[in-house]
Amino acid sequence: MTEEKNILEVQDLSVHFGHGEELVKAVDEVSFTVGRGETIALVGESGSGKSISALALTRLAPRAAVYAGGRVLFNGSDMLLRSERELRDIRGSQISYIFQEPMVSFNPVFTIGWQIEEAIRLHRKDVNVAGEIERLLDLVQLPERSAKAYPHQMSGGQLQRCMIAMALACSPELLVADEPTTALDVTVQREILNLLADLSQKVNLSVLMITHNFGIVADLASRVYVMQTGKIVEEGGTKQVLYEPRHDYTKQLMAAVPRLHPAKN
Amino acid sequence: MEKLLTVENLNVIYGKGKDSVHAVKDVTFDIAPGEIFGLVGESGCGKSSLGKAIVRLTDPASGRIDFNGDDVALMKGKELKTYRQEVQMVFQDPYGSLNPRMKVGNAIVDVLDVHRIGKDRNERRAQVAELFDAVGLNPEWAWRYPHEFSGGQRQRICIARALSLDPKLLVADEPVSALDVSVQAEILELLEDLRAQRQLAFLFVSHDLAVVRNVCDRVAVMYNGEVVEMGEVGDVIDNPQHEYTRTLLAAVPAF
Repeated sequence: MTEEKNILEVQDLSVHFGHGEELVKAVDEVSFTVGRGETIALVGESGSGKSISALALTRLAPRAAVYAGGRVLFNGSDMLLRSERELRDIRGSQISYIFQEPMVSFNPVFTIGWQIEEAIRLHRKDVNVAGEIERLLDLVQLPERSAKAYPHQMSGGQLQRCMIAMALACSPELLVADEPTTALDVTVQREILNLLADLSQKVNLSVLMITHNFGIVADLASRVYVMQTGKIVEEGGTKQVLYEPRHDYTKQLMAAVPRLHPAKN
Repeated sequence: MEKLLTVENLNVIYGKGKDSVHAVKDVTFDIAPGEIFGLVGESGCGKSSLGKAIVRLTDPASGRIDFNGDDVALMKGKELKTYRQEVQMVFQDPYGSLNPRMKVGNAIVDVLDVHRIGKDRNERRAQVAELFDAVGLNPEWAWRYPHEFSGGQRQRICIARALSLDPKLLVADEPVSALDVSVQAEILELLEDLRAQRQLAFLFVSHDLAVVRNVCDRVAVMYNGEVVEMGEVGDVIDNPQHEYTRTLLAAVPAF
């Protein structure tokens, strides 16, 4: 009964670009799992394949990508075998995404409320839309009047909250958060991290967090996978990976992290 | 102690009357030659306004900025041009700081052209090669376009351009915030090397306290336009005195 325990099981997933001598194995036989209500982190430097892995879950990787092998089992069914139409129903309603740049993720000419409403209408038919918008804004601790605001009238932190509201509009089971706080200030980042932790409790949300910030990993994730050049080089419980890294690459990464309170030795 | 830059009771105010914004309030600090001085605080606290006032991109409402003992506000003509060679800026987004249609080497040759450094184009191109070497880039890459480089390489290019006029002070506004942790470590190391080799001083603007802890000598914490705390970086972070500094430190996701 593995489906019961894990909402997502990625098995030997490979995503390639180009062919022949120019072949790039962006994701190379990657396997990971996300348990129900669990938050896991995928870490690694830019170009390591973490974002492509995340996009590949719902076949959203750039058009040139070739899904060269493996399976993406979401609730036990393989996403790579689903039709584009079926995937469109799943994206946003069962698996949703938030990205790094809240400013560019919104359409500047529509209000926040309009854009949240669009997410609701696409997937849900019989709901009181106005009430839903209010509920969602409340969930991310924004006042009701935010619905009438345009993206440029909000700060980066407020926009990321709106982004989360939109992502949660259809009560997804899995939230993929790709560097959700990298563009934000440390105090605002703290608020967003607390919000995510809070939500995963409240609505039993499973979260796949993609980041290169180990502080965030320590804060939120129960398990962590370290990626380098398309491969997962180390995995384990957060404490074990952060404090007793086994792989050389993880050790190098950890050594590069600037510490607030460097060990005195 | 000898001072390179002193800022005294500086105020920057945007707008007039009711709608005016007091972005920098009575800020006083100084930077010694070869010192890396950190400036931390959240967005909107006035860090960038302060940086802009120092490079004279915005005029202060009151207060005084001295560079090597000369009042910056009174500089004009040749003196101001020299000041603008000696104080350079590096920004957060290196891609946004480079013209996508211009070979990166030419972006540096242009700077040398404007300031009439080097006697002809060949000599300037040779200087570009030296600068590339100084920031750890292959000099042959100077004749490529910005999109052919990674984020860290682009930041090195921006640093090379800032160094082209042999400055004494670099105002670095969030220079590593957009970079990965391993690339960030390399750029920070480069800044340390430049300080050691050239006695270059930095005003290092950042919201990342861990980075500031690792590269800066002293730090000022800004909140709402005011410097609320200032001191040796280790003292401020290990033993914060002001309420806001504590809030800021508590927000850092650390392990």
